[in-house]
Amino acid sequence: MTDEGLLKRAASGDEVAFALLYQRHRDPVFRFTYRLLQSRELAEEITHDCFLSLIKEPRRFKPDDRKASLRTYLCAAARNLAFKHLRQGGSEAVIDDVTEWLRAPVSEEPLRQLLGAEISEAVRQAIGALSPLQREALILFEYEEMSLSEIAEVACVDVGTVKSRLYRARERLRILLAPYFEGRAETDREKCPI
Amino acid sequence: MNYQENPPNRQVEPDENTGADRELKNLLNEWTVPEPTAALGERVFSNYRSQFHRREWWRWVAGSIRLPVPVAAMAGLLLCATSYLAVRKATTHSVKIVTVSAPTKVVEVPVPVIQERVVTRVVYAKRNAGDRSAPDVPAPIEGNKAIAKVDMTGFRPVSEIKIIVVKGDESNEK
Repeated sequence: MTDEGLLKRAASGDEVAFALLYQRHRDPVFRFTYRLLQSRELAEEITHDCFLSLIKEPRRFKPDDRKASLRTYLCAAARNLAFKHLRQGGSEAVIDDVTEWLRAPVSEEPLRQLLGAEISEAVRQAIGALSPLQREALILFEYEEMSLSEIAEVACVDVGTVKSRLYRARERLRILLAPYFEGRAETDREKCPI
Repeated sequence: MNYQENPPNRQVEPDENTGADRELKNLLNEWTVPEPTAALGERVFSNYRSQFHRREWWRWVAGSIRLPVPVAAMAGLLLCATSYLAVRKATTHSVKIVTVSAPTKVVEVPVPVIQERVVTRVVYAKRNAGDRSAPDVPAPIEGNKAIAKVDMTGFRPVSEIKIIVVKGDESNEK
């Protein structure tokens, strides 16, 4: 069943339809919000608010528009709530406890685990250092694999603006993560001597 | 750096990325996201249910149901027919009420009953001296009345009657 059909049923009290919708779209919304705010607690709160506001006012989602999909609609709602939080709490985002990132799969070597955790933390900090608008564009493009037009719809800007933000975000990240580029190059050469 | 505009239905094509982009992409993928807690789902569904519990009574007032067009048309026709018959029956019933006459009133009217008056007249019949054949039969008495038997042979009615009432002494009265 399509998202529109499920939404109609969920809005009239069908819990099974709501559960299906939630299952489909929870992870993208949570991931995007988490990467934007870098806080699990805030990401859960915003995800909760997004789904309940969707059920309270289902008519605000207009599937007749060709570009509109429920995923972009939910990401746009999450974006608005996240930016509202950023405006209220200042530009600094709440950062999770660093120790959480030291957890790694048991099968990996200890050194690899440490390197993986370090890289993960470095990437998180580098993305956190971007401006919210650049961060948003980068997350939606690189992690959620949305098209430029979809990102433009979420951010309520034109495609050219999205491209510009993406370009600046990538340039900034290359500078911030430069040490890790070199390190990865050496590691790849060791693996593939040819 | 030139960015190619991606089509709306973007497909990940490694060839369109440069080496540097690929490297950046690989680095970015090192950052993984934790799973949301189970409490999130519980909160979401709990609030979903409470929202509809509050609105449930309102659904009985302002809710709607969907009917196929043929079913709705048949229901509408049935409603119209029922309404027409009900109105017609009400009209007919009201006419009948008008024509009913007032209940008859029973009044007892005494009707004079004409009772025949029975006059019993005692006739004294003159008896001849030699005629002793006729027995001196006493008048039979029936009930309270005495009935005299008279031989009407040779009786001729009188054309004129002149009634003279002679009041005799009581000894001659029987």
